Amino acid sequence: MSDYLWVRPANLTLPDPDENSVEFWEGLKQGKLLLQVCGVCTQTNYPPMVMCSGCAGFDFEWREAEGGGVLYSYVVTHQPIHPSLVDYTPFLTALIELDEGPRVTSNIINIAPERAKIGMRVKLELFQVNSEITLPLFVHE
Amino acid sequence: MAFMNAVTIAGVGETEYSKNSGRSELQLSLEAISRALEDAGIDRKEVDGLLRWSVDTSPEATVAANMGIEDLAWFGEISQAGNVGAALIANGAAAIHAGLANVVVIYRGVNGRSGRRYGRGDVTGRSGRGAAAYSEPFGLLTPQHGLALMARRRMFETGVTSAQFGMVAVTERGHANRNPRATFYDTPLTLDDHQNSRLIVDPFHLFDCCLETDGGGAIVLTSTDRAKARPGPSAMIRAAAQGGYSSHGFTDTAAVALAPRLWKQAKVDPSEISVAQIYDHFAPFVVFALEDYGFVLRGEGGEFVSSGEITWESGSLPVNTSGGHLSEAYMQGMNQLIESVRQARGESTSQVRDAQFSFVDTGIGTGAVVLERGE
Ligand SMILES: [Zn+2]
Repeated sequence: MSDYLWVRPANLTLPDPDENSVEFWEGLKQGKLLLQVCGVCTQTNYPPMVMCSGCAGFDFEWREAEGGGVLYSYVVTHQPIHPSLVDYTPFLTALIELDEGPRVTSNIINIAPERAKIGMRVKLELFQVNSEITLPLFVHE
Repeated sequence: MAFMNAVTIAGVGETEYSKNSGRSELQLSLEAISRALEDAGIDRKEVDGLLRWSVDTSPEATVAANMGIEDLAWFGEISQAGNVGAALIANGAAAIHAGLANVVVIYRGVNGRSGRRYGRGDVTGRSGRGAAAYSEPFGLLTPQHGLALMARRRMFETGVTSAQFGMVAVTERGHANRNPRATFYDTPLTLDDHQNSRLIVDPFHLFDCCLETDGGGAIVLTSTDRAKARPGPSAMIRAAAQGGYSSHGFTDTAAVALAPRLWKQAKVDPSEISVAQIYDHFAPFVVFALEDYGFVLRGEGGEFVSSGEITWESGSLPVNTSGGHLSEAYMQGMNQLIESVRQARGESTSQVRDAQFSFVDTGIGTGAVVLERGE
């Protein structure tokens, strides 16, 4: 394992939770990546939806993700296309396919961008930005 | 049945394309509208419909006031981003076909280089709200980020390569080198130039990415009967369709759902198309469109491009014959719609002979138009 550790750009956009996603972001603060599961047809959604596209239901339950998954796709930002990214490129943004099925946009924090490989195993590593926001990031196992 | 040649693109107009227009987006639109109406031979007092991209900054009422329109009978905007050109054509034609308006003008004026820049997320924004809460905090800040994510996966699944994307850029540059209006008219591009260009968002190199442009463009729609006043060949709207909200797979463009509807409406199939303009905000999306609209099978688009099939004039389906968004100008599809009209009329600088049917995709498979040459 390399010593690489990604430094999150200090001014990179933070989530601004709305009324449909309060529980999700609250779950992360409490150490859990919550997946929205339809109480009727059991379809699993990420991000959370307002109405279940599988059965048109509005009753959802939350289930904690196990945290394992594989790298499904990724990009490496080289051009600091916004002032907040200057001095932080290149960096990796990953699309992780969780073992439960849904795909999560995130970052893999312990591999250099050039080592990313589709199909590699990753696991969840929560990253507390501040007292309000914790993000679901990942590490290569 | 949809309009099937009942409506014609009677006039097109554009300003010069530059990095700094030195005038307002409203003025760019108005100049382009004046040229399009002159091209159509239609007086501005006859215009009773206006349509724009919702990202365009010039409200219909303001445009109407400047044009001196006395009775604006029909107007509207279509949301999303740059990708609604075909939806605007479809809706404008539908309004004429339904008798809600007689002459509809679609316009676009943008200072895309000197003003707000798409490439920096200035237009699409960074809010962290709604769906963006699950992408922007991880660095997906601009259109190219999400599209690069899809392109990477599609490279993995189909084996298409960066060099094949590069041949899209090289081919389009060759077309731009024949088009004096093109930003890159004077500058050639080789595959080595493409492969050695810096990475913007890997897998996209610099020369996979479209220009950022200041300019204006306009299109005049009217009934095919009314359009007959203009002499010479014309660009009849054989079919126009929009889409984009289907729950397709991650690596599919929206064309997977839209294409069957489009070809059914047009009553032609892809093999009958002579020339295509394909929304190339990023070069890989030309390859993906060729596959998802059914011009070639999935996985064959890269080879189709690199073997010269999209190159004027020897290729079987010349694509982006004015240089496209990569090398002519990035006008969110407007310049490609205008080029498709030139092809239908026989006026392109890279004219495809006997082009009865001309195809335009206006973005990631979310809208397409088939034009037929009228005599
Ligand atoms: Zn359900």
